[in-house]
Amino acid sequence: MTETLMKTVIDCETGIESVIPLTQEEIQQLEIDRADFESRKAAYEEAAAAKAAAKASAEAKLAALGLTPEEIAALR
Amino acid sequence: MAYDLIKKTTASTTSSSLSFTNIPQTYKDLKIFVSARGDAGTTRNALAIAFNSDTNTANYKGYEWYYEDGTFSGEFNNLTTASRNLGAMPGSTGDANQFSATEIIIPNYANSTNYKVAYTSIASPRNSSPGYSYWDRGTTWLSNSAINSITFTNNSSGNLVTNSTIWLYGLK
Repeated sequence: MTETLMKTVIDCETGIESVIPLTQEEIQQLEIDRADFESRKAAYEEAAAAKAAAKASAEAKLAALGLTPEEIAALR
Repeated sequence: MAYDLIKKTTASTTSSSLSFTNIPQTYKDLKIFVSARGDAGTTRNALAIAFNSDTNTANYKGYEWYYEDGTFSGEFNNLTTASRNLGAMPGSTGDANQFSATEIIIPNYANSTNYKVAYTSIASPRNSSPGYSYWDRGTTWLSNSAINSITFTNNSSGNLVTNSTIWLYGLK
């Protein structure tokens, strides 16, 4: 069974609240919006993971130089 | 200083979006409270906003910091340079029986000479170990148009569940 996507619209002027099926055009736009968001989110998470890896690597190098965990934490 | 309740709505059915249209232009500022939950199959879904049905992400710019799952992501982040995403709300595998709590303030929403800026603060349960999200975000809509409609959607390939509720207030 195909799910019918609905939207809820409240007209502040009339007070009328309507639950309306999305048009094909609106469904397509929704899919574009979601794909766009997922793409941006993936790019952001990839960048965040790379930054975390670089931070861990830098901290390991500092520890190898003899810095204590407290000294490394003080640099953050 | 007192806010008038313009409209409140509670989703009576699962909805892809909740919208206020024909927002009166007689107030100075808008304040919105959102209690929302999504049904996409993750612990955390993304709540997004659109003004005047403008879903072009390039027309929005946002900066945020957030505290998540015990870690403070203290830098100012933006999802690249443009985003309509306001922050988090629980998804279908998030903590049961919990909705996010969101406050949005939009000053000077009715003027037609400046870009519009919305300040958002969100607290969102995620799951029991130890997940919790707290987001503060500023969103600029790169348009001089007066805001006459506001739409909320779930950007995580899901809907807003029944009983998601939005209160729209105006400050005179």
